[in-house]
Amino acid sequence: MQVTHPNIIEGCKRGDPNCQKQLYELHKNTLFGVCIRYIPNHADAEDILSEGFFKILSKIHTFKGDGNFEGWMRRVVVNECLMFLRKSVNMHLTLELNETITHNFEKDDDDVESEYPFTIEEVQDAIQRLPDGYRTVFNLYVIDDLKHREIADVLQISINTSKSQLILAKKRLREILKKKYSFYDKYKK
Amino acid sequence: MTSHFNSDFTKKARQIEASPSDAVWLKIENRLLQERLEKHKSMQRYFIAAASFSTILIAGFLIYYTEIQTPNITIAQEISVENNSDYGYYDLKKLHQLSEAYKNL
Repeated sequence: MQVTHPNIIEGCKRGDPNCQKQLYELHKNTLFGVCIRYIPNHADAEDILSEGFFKILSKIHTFKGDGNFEGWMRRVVVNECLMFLRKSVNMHLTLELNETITHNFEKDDDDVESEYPFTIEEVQDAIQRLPDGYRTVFNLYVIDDLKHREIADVLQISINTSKSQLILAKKRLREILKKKYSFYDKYKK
Repeated sequence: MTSHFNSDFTKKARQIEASPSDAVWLKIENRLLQERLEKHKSMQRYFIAAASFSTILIAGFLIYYTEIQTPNITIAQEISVENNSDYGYYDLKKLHQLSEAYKNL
């Protein structure tokens, strides 16, 4: 994510329309990428981006400058995505943790990455194919670095449910990626 | 667990970017304008309320001075006539002079 010039932030705090537009132009693609990661539907993701960015602009005076501004914006947008998911999607977060599955899955995690350099588009496609519940927990835990306790709080689920969703998400991702591997293997041969 | 899962995959997932349509900025701009308009309207409402309150206050004072204070002045004048103050004495004297003049006619 590109670093925002302090003058743009100050301008936005004053409500300067030019600075607001500059801020949007600077971060729209990255923030929309975050939306797309959580909500694959383009129209919904655009709604969330507009709502999230409006919140960023109207609450920018609360940003005191003691942290990373880009991280703060990302958190606002992620929260917006989660609110949308909580409101409109049944995430099917019902499965409970099975320790055996965790152990086995962790063991062969590294098999996935070593040989095949996927493009960003392929990674995006694989994430978007996950069911809502799997995708949300995977995004929060693996990509946005939240802990299971935090995910449980945010999604109002148990910690075990969060863990089980993550395991199943990874399992599903491996299946999706393996199909691509087999395509690569055939291509090589 | 994160470190086990595909650091390259995670890195690339963090780099996902997509470009939204122009309609998104238009929506945001529209919301910002609406917000400004709302602020302006609420300021207007505040001024109207303040103006109405001060008008009522001024009208109240005017009513108080014209309807309540004026009769007091009249009563004071009547009292002064009854007590033979200068004003009342002058009137009685004048009346007496007039009646005397009538008698002489």
